[in-house]
Amino acid sequence: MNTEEKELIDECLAGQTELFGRLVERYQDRLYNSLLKVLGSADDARDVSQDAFVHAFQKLSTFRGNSLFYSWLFRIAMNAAISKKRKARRMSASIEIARQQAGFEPADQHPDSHPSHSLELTERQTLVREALAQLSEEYRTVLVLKEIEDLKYEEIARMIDCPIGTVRSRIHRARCELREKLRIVLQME
Amino acid sequence: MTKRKQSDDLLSAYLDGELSPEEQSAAEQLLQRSVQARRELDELRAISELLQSLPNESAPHELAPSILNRAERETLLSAVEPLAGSAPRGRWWFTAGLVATVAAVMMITISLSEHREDSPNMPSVAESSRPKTSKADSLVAIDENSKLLTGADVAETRQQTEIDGSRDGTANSVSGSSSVNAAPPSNHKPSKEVPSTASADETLQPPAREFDPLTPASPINRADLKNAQRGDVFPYFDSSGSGIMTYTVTVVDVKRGVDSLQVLLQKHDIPPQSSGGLSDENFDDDKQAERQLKNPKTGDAHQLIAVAVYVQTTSVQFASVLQDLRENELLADLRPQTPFDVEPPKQTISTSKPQSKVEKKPNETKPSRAAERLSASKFTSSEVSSFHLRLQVDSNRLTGRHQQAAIEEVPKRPNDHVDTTVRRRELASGNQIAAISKSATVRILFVFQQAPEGKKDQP
Repeated sequence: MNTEEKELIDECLAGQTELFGRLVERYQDRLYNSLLKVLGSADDARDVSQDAFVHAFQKLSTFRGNSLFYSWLFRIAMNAAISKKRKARRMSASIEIARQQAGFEPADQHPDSHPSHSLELTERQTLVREALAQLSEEYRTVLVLKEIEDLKYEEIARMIDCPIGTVRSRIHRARCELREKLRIVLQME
Repeated sequence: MTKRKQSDDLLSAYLDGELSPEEQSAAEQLLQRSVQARRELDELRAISELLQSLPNESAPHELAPSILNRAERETLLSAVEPLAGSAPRGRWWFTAGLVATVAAVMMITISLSEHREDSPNMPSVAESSRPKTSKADSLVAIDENSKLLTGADVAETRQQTEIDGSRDGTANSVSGSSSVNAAPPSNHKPSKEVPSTASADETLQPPAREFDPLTPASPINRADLKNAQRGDVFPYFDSSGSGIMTYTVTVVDVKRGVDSLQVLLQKHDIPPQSSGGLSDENFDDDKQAERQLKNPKTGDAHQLIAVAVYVQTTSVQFASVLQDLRENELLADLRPQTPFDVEPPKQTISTSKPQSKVEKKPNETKPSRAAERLSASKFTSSEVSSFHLRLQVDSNRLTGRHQQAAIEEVPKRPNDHVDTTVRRRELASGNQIAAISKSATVRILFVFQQAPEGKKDQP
């Protein structure tokens, strides 16, 4: 944890709670973006982000600073996300139905993801999101942490409480599975 | 096969720059001699680039204010138990800062007008002395009022607070002009001195909270809510640490229900305890106790309708057990009760204790025999132990009272280090339990209860 972040947290605990708002401002986009890709739903990503930050606020005094605040926050978020697992399963089913009916993934409704992109790019991204959503949650999580968060295996292992070897094999299997699902896209490249 | 797998992992890890020097060398040699390996690496790289090309999504604009709003509101509803060295005044200022942060009048509200009208002369919480925030006193308060909120009551309260603005980031309205600012979680100062358990706290985060109107009653003391004052903090919720989750399992046949649970525990790799666990022998002990519970006045036996089973397992395993239990045909009802905190015993305990009267008088502090034994037990957090505690509950007192009975059965220790706290509800929900880290250990007390006659199956 860098000095500035530590000072923020210490001062926050000392009573300057507005500094927690700064932590929120600093990390909300990053957390939301990753959760959106892990959970595949804007609503779930927002809810889990909210849960995670609130819990982090409540448990801030237990944060020892051995890891980055964001790593700690993400772990909390992952725990919160697990609680939505069943919902996510239902969501996956509904995504599948909606996709079959409408031909696109309903979770992809963020306005930023649509405008000013070429049709080809949008289609490709839709396919990638769709393929990502079809992966198991554990594969999706490690892939997002690797590709979106750009974390090292060791950091990922700490975050999801798994051995590094497991992280390594999951990432590889997830990529292979994704490769099969995106074979058409790869051939277009 | 293993070599092939290693080779696969090798390329992916090579792409990520995660190889040791030896592996790096091996990967480079592989890529030099194998066209297929080079093609595979290209494909893995392409997949990686596709994922990285996904646009970054910004959080919704309302997220930050709604987080701060909810943090304040939930902290109000959370246990903020004063620890040595934590100054309430500090928390007050912490709260003030939070309110400033949201740059709006964000006053956490609890709808109290109805209760105020009921008893306007109740003494204020502030006047009733700060020690009420201790865990022990929260239980005493429950006893004194002899009334717990029902599930509907809590749902009403929570729905009200939810309506007051949970996710839209709007300011909460104040009903009855009674507002309570949330106190922050300043359990201890941001000191470098950290308790040895802090690491576990950091790693094993409890699940994030959800407001589920269907969660069962939390032991909110109405009297406290009626007289809530700005800045008051109530000890009734606490999601920190690991309390004992209590489930009341209503089954058409207690013995078969216990047997089913035994099977489920085995199925989910929760081994039977060496002693004091689930076994026919233990159940026979209950039957023996039942025979001893002849009512001296009427000659009738008190109907033994509760058998409590304490297990210790991981949250993930327990979530699976719970799911299966819900699908059990014997099950008439399964509802989480008030979790409580108790030090697990050092040694396995198996005890049967006749309890002629469940409802204790307010000033009755003498613990049950089981409680005494539990209290006497020493425990270190590194130890994993389990025990089997049976409750014999007078049937006519159980109805509508079982929750309180469960609470009252927990050991009561001297006030200076009482640990019989009442815990936050959501830990007792199956879905949310699964949110605890896989390595977390949860303690669950199953209290088996005979279903009413009408619900019995005819064999």
